[in-house]
Amino acid sequence: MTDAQTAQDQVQQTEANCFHCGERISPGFRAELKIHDEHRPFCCYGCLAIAETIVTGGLDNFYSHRTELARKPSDFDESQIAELKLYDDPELQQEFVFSEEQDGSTCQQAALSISGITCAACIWLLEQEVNRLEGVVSFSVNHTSHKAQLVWRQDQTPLSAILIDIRKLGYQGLPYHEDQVKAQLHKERRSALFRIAVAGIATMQNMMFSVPLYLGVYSGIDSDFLSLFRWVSLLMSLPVVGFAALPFFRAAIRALKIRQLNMDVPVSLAILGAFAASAYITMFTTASLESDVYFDSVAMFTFFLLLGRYLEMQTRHRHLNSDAEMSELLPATATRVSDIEQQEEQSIPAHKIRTDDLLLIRQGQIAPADGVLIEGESQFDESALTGEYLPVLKSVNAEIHAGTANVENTVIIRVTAPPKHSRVAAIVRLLDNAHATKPRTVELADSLASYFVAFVLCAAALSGLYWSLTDPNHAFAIVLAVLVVTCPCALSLATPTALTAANTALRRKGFLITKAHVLEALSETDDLIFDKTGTLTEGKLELYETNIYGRYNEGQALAIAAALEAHSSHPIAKVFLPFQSIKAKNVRSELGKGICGQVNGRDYWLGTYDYAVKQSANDEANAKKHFTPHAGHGIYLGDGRQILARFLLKDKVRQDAKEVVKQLQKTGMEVHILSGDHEFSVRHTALELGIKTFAAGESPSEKLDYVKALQAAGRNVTMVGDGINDLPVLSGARLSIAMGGASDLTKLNSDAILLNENLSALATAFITSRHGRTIIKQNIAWALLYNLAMLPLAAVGAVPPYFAALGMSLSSLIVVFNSLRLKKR
Amino acid sequence: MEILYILIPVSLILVALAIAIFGWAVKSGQYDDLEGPAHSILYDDDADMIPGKDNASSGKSSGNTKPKQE
Repeated sequence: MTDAQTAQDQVQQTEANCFHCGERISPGFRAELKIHDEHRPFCCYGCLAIAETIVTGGLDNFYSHRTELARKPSDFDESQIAELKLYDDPELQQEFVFSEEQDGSTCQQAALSISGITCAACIWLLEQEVNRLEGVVSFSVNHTSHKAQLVWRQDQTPLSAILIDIRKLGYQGLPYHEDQVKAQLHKERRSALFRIAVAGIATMQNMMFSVPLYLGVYSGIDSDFLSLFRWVSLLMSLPVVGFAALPFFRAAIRALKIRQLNMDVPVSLAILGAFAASAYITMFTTASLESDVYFDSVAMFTFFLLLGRYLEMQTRHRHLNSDAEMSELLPATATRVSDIEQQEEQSIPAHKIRTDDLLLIRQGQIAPADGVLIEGESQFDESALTGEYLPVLKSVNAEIHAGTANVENTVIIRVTAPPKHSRVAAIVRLLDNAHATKPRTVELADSLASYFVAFVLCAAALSGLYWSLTDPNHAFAIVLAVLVVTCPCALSLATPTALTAANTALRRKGFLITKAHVLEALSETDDLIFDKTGTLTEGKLELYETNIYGRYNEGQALAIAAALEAHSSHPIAKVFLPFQSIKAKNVRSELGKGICGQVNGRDYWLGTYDYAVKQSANDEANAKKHFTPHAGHGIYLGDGRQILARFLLKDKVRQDAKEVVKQLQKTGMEVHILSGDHEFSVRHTALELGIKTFAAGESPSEKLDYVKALQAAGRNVTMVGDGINDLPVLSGARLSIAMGGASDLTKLNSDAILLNENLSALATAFITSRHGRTIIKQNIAWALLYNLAMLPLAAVGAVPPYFAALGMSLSSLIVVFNSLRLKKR
Repeated sequence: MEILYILIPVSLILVALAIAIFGWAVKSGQYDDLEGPAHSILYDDDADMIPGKDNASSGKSSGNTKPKQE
């Protein structure tokens, strides 16, 4: 290969992103596969393996069907296969597998929850692949809940084979556990749908009977038919008022009970008022065209509001693959041993773990419960809890937390708290408390609504009083006219329509809003706090510099290091994975120091500086002069006489982080870093990004205190985070934004999600939020203006019914069109 | 026009029936997945059913089914 070619290749390599997951490919790494007659690059062997599985299975259409990139797969090795095999245990299966008779033979049925699904093509891929397996009778995945129904023949295929197959495609299938929250969400969705249908069908029927009434005004109508149409409309509106609109009434009563007026109060008032007025006219007055009925408006108003709330609910539920929660953090199985000596092993389901049980935790496994280490020594990856990506050394008597992964040696722990009471569970409890103390955001429309409702009620009462003194015959009709004319349709549509439009616009840019107050809170933010790891940085180590001090060139040094690290499961080892080309022998690792072994007949030491030069004859002080101080982690390679190479590893700052931070600071908000990391690396990142305020080494509860202190000082705080450890602080902040790669539990509890991990969407969100707020204000101003202008006219009895109906629709339409302007941006 | 006195009650019964059927459909889970069917119809899974294509010989696991470009 000529030099020119090599250079060209390198350009392509550095600019290329992984075909499967879209991640940037680290320079020097090369893995390709021919798909659709084109050579596609991949970022790691994991992605490549999945693509190979897909292509050899003839399912390469997945890549043309998909609309989102796939998620980067986590490691899959022997230990995970062994873990999945545990699901073949009949005792474990008792909980989620049911047998049934089908076509004369026994089939097993199980519900699985699948994680890693990013778009509809993923589901297509899964269904195609799994249904092809021998012994699988049927397999289908729900697009909304990502819950799969599997029917298969156990005597032909074990469950683990199916789970492994799913895993090979880059997804994770685990037994589905129905809990209360999920059951509640499920019920909520179904009943909302049914209410919409009732209101919708009633609206259509009402329209049918209203048109003759409208036409009757001009062409005349027989009073018998007039009366008939009104009675039928009344009948059709009953299910709307008595069933479909119930959620509004309930919310209004709840608000009144705590002496507050929210938007549901005027909505309920409008529905009930218009219905009561129309019913009164229908039942107690002789049918004439002078008085009008509003049954069609009642039904339509309810229908549109229900539809709006349903769409809002859908966006909220969409990104909670409610499956995961605890089950993704804690393993479903554990290995119990009788005592340290005999090590009689027994697989048990996690919920059967009791205090004082002895559990065996192998390399690569996750601790299923809190405990104290009693045998062995190893390093534990606590990143799920603390966000710290380097493992922590644990020896006898050290505390092991549930949810942390063992990266090195097999150890035995004595359980101190079963999974339910473990530290992960404790964080979840802390979260509940934080929720309770979260500053309540009173929505603009809600606070206005309180005044408005109070005003309308006073006006209606006053006009009623006046008319009952002067003309008692018309008093009731006029009071009702006031209530109907001031029906706050436009007012109640003002916020939801603007929110929906802003949601759509932001979603296209990768910013997903899940709660109603986000737009307002975003535009008012004074303090923006980032958790460093995973938000401003990419949250994983990367090789960014190699210094050579000996006789080897960069490639050779990397190959030697990779050969040694191939025997380690330490997170640092992954950095060297792409450079593997030769094999190492007699590899020994020394806990917390490094790894040594033979490559091509020579001994090498790789690890901390002291470890690598232990055998060195060089003067240590002299050698240290060579090595300039640096941020990040230095890994040294020595050959027994001298240092050969230094590899600098760093958690890289995201490409767009600096630009975004600058933009945000320009809008006048204070940007903070609040991290659990060491002071040194936090300071370095802060300096690099131009952030002046930062705090390092903070525990989850300290972070929460930090935010609470700011909020107590009257600041509006927005928090961006991604780890489980950020959960309490995310819930404590007025507005919380989770990164797209965050755990489901974190996403579930945050107000907005930054999809695609694209920080620039954050800046866009702040701009759009300000614009959206302006639109909401315009909407509300218009709605109030219209209603206030009509109120005196209605109070003096000067508004003809058809004009009231027309005006109501027109003012609502104006609000809707004004909101749609947001979408165009 | 007196026919309306019969037709309207009939329509009301039909409406009640429609709502009841919809309620049953929701309860039995037919509306739990509102997105799936919209997508599944767009997948071209029929490459091996179209006669005269070169992949007819190797069947559905051929791996060289031509994707629809754009």
